[in-house]
Amino acid sequence: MNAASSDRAQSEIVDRSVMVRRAPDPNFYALVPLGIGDGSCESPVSYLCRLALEHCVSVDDLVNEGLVHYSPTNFRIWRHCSAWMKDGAINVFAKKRTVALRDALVTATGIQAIGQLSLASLDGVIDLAGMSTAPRRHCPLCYQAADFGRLFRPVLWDLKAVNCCPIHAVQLVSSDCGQVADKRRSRWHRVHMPGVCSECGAIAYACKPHSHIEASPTDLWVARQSAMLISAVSSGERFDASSMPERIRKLASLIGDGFPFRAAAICGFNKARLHDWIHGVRPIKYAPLLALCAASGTNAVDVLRGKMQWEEEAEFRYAPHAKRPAVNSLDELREKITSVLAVQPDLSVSSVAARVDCDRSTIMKRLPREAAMLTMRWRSAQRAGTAKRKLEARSMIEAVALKLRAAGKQVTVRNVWLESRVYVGKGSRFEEAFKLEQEEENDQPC
Amino acid sequence: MKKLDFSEVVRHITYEERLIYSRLTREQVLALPDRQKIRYFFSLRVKHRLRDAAEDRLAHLLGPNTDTGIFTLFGPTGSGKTALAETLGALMKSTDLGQRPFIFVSAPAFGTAKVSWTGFFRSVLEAGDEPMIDEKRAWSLVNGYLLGSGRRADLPAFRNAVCHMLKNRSTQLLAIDEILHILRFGDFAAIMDTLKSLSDAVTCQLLLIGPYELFDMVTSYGQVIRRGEMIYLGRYRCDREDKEKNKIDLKEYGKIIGKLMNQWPVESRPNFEVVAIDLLEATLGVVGLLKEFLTRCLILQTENNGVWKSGFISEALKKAHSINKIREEIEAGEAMLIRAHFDEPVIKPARLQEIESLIVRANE
Repeated sequence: MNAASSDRAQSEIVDRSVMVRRAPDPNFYALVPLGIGDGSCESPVSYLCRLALEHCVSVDDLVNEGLVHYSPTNFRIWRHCSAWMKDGAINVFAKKRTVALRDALVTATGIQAIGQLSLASLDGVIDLAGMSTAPRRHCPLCYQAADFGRLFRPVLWDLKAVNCCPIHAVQLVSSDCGQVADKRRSRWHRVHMPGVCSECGAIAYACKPHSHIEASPTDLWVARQSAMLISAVSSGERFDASSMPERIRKLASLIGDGFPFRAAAICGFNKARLHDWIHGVRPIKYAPLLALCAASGTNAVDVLRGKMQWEEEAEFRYAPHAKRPAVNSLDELREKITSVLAVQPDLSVSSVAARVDCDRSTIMKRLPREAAMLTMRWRSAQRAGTAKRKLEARSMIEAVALKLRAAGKQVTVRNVWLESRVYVGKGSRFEEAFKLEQEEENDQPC
Repeated sequence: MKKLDFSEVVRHITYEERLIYSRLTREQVLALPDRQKIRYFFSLRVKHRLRDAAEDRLAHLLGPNTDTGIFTLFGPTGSGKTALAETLGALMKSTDLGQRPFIFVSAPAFGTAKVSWTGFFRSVLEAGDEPMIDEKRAWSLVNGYLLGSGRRADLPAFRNAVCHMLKNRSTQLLAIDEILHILRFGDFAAIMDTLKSLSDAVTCQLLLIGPYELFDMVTSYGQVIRRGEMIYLGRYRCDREDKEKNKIDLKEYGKIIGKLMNQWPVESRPNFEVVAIDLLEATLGVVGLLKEFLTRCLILQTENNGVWKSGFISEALKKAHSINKIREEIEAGEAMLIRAHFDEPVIKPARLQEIESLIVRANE
């Protein structure tokens, strides 16, 4: 080792010994979540969108290029933001995605309160699967009253059980864009921001006028129960999962006057399921819990706390899901293809795909039999078309040749052009018919 | 042993490094390797009268309760303007998450006649520890619609991002060093308008740092005259007609030399205090030039195994042609300030006294 390198090595040792490493700062803005400790607490995706807007980046970029450094999860597999923007499950609880997003946001901003934005802390206490709603909804009066800087999307609106706003007592409305297709902004110019139509950019969804429909007392009761629960969760309250079966048994006994299983019929759910909830086989879902609370006159959040107070009963009853029809999406697609073929039977796979609004590869991969049938039909139609065109060309050239001979002229490319304005030279579709005509002419005896 | 190159050794001394050096004991300093010793000495920041006065004035003007939006800190090269701004930044440092009350940015030079605002805004974003700079996109509110741009990292995107960064990081002061790199080229009024609108958009104060030329440029912009303040960080002198003032300056300069020599990181310490008057003349009374001279002396002594040798002083001092050039610039700047009546009251002192006595009498 020479003097210079020993000096460098020495200085590095000193560097390491005397330098005090600062804890790495979270690089993202310490944006305060809105509505913490309140029934209208902000959802995690709403926070994410606001953070992206403040940093002047798209939500996709924020997740894929920014938050990815703060999380072991590869967010790129989630596809683009708009896919999960529409999925309320992240806001309520989707184990892999909600927890990963929440943890990344907490680390990136240093704001611990972000951990309380979803219902993740209720996991195990109740069954959170299927608790969220797919179509996006909002309360038009909430957005009308808010300033642009205070726009956010509460997690309450993503609950499937909730159909109205507990503050304004009006029904939630669909958050679809009201503009015609050509007035919507292209995907690259869209900004994802809660309270703003991402497709046309209208603030407070002003693109679609809504009439305010008053909520029913039952809907209002459900919305208020849900708001109370969200308020407790967002203020950091934790609930004991182990005592839930006992509390459910207590509620059921009260409803059934000492016979817990009578509660099943009163509330509208299956007796076998009630057995499972009482014996801890599986956690109760949110809607049956609400039904038990409504029938017994308690608040759902009080049941979770274990401090039940009896109040007036509500009319809410559990309604099981209507059974799904046995038709799956492929059957629907097959039907669409059949209806298209009924109008025009010899279309190619690509043409059919364009008409039924799906990808060509979907038909090729998922419906191979239909794809094979389409290909066969199309080829035979093509073949028939080619033969037909050849015949037409032949008869036309014969007619022209006849005229030329009658006039005492030779059948040449120039003469055919002058007579009929049809080019029969190299590359023309009449070339083959013309050659045949010439051969026939040559074969004739002089 | 490889010769120590001054400019290479003292490059990029961070605030954290300065903080660590300031906590070292004399024994620890003497135990440092040669390279570190020189960095340690060059990292020293000495408090002195002129600097303290400028710092007090600046600190007094900062804060939300003043209507001063743009400050101009100017003075001769090496007078400690950048150091003063950095010290101010250290004082304003916040422990709150994601907050940067002070952002210091050195305006980039591009060598062309056109100002690259994209490059400037990028520097501001980098100085504010902004993540994902290349992914920035502009958005705006137009007639009840939120409209986004499809382009990334363009000028509107950067301007938007800077405004949001200054707001979200709660930035109170944005210091722009070497502002002449921007102001020297292009439309001066338009540049100042851009800077002012940036400051207005986020209610953040701007500190422009530069040499004497900055005074001349900034005073020609009306907004700065009305809403701005000029702070001059000058030099010590011993060539004035007022002998008393010269004496005070010389004494202060001696003190500065003493403070620096107390931190000399070699056992054998040359006594520069006794030649304070000669050093004041040779370094034009500029503390930065003095520190540079002493650091060069230290390098020479360190390379000579810590033994002081005669002849080091002439080797370490800047040559006459360089000093004369700097002197010309400084003197021209000082003459300009005198011509512009800089820092002089608008009413004559005698009349001012009369006014004050009249006010008192009226009250009685």
